Amino acid sequence: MMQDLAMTILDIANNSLAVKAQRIEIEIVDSDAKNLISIEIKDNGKGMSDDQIAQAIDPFYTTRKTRRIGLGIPFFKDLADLCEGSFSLKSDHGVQIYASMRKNHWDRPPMGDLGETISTLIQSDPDVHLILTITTDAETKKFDTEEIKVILEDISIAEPEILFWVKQTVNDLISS
Amino acid sequence: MTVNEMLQNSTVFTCLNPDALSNQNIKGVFIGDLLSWVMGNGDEGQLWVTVQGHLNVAAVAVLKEFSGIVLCHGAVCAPDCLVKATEENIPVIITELSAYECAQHFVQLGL
Repeated sequence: MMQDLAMTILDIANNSLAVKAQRIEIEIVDSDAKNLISIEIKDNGKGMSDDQIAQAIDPFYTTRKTRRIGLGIPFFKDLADLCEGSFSLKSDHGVQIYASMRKNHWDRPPMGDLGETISTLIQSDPDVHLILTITTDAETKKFDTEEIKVILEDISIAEPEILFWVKQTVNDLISS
Repeated sequence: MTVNEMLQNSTVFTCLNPDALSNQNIKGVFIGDLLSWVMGNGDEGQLWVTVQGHLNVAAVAVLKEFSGIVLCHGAVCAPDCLVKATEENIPVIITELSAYECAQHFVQLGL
């Protein structure tokens, strides 16, 4: 398991970038009423076969040639197992990966720096369409890179000043 | 000191998979339960003391090339973790000692 949820999200979403997904949706539910935190990451990459899905939660499996062992998905599943939630991994035109946790579980990691996670993903691939939604008991908040790109016109979203703004904006979304 | 020598010098440790014992040389000790932290900070050859006994632990131990896994405080090893650790020649050692007591013990042994 990773020390916070933002690092876990970065690790999983990086898998999507590695398979050339053009669109990544990150949906976070943070509910006191349901005593639940859930994270779903969906991409439109090349997807996974049934065999690959079965193997993906096995830490001794990886698609990479350089390292024999892949831990991103096993660590994500760890979260759900340890914090009495549920985990699922499906592939239907892309990959959909989900983990939930009991919000008040002792071992649930804190959210961490989600702004850093989002800005790092954009920096890795400025062309990717990233949509983040955060749903609390009161409202759903959304951050969508396409909306920002329309405003930016010819300026790259990967400019340091823009990335800094992205990071702050995302972290404001969580704390507000 | 090898893992085997360490076991011979101690009565408080039990190796669950003696088949995995070869001449693993212990190059220090690492204590930690947060797997990503262990991944980031552990070093090759260390003996890893933890309370986590699931399959991912075997994976981390292989990746970091640890000399062995010590499940302290009576923590149990999941069957699939033990199978994989044995396949990969990683000794899995259990003890009732706490992590702190393990550390004291290893210091006394000069590790």
